Amino acid sequence: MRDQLDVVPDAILAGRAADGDTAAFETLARRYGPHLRASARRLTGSYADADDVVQEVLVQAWQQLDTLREPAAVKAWLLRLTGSRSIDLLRRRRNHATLTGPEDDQPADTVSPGAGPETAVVAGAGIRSLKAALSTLPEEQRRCWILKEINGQSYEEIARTLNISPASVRGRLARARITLVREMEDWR
Amino acid sequence: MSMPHETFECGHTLEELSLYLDTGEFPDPPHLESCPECRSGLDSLRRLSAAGEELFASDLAAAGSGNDDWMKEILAHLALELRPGRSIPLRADDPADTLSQTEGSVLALVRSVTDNLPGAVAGKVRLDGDVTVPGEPVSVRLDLAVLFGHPLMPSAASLREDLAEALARHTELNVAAIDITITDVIEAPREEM
Amino acid sequence: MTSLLQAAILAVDGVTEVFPARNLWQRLPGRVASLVQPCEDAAGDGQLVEVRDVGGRTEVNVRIGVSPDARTPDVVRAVAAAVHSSLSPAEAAVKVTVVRIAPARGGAGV
Repeated sequence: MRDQLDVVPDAILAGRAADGDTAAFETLARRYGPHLRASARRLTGSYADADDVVQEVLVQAWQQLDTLREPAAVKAWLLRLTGSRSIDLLRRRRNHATLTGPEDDQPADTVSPGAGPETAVVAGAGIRSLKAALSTLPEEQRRCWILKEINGQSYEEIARTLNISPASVRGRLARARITLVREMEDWR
Repeated sequence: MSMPHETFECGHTLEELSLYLDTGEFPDPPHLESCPECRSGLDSLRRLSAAGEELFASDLAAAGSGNDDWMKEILAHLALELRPGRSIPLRADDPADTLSQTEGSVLALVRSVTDNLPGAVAGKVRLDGDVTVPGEPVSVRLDLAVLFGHPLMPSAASLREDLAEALARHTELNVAAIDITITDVIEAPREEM
Repeated sequence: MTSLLQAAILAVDGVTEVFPARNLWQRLPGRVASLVQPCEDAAGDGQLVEVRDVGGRTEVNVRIGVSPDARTPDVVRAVAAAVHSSLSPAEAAVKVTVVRIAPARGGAGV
């Protein structure tokens, strides 16, 4: 039945998973795992942390799926959980880093071991300059930008995730974009 | 050079344009058509947005497939707890014994019988009625999705028969009704090969 | 003791697997008289079949999976009978719960 579940829409799978169907849940996990992983990697800047986040998100999702009011929105929900878990992890790490030293506090690309030479060659100029520009952003602006552009979250959702007001999200996102546009045009 | 200041000479700001891109809200929409500064600002923001999409696509490709080992490993570590639901009693030969099946096992049975019918996929399943009391009438409610274009269109009548048989075989429930609602029609991808 | 019980249960036609009787955190410390030897099952989750002495009476707690080709109520009663005969002549109260009706599992992840 694995193959058959692969063509089944999210809402049905989420409903079944809420009923306790592990196969349906695993189909959802396989379907959106790469997106969750990409989001967690960009947010945490660490491959190992990202996989921990994905695992935590899936555990939480299995426990709380029956509270999801709109089963069709399961993807957005998983991405919100991923955003929150990643930010929590960064906060824990930040607290830890103040004790042990600042070397953990690096932007995503410098600590991504998988971004080897091949990736660098394949990646287009736009991606490369955007990555470089992202690494110059203040942390809070960078998080807003990733939650918006990679996770597709709304201002209100980002505000809840970061525990700031929607107006602050709007401001930080705009400043992030202004900086990114400037940096990228410098790179041209 | 297209984005030198946060506030343009026309008085509008990049923050307003950024918000406009996300929400479509702008105090003076026709202005965006005529103001060269605002148009150029929007162009820059749109280019950034396109670069963001490119970055996401490349991140997503780098993250691998959900069928790869990393996801298998994560799933293997999850050890998802089965959801028991209510306890459905079964008759015991020895009065000291307590025999039962979980509601979760019966729901899974209904799903598996349904999924085994070609072209049919079970959605949510409900057992209406007090399943914890032997002999109480119970209705089975099943949401059904059918695969459109499947060579064998599943028939609700034959599914009802299969379900009744499976429930009689595996439970002692007094099944009063099996209500099947077709809730979805899934476009099945064409079989290759 | 419980591994013998476990073997007797698995020998019943239609039983596909024996699940841990309780999740670890549900197990109460103390009062577990005839606690079974630590088991080495993959989950590291303790013994599968729980045997307790409660006020002089033996209580056995079993959770099983049943094959779709079998008849679940018959299998459950046969499991209870197998436990009784393994413990005979001791009196026991047997609790059997079916948690799965499905073909035996191949992979992990459930």
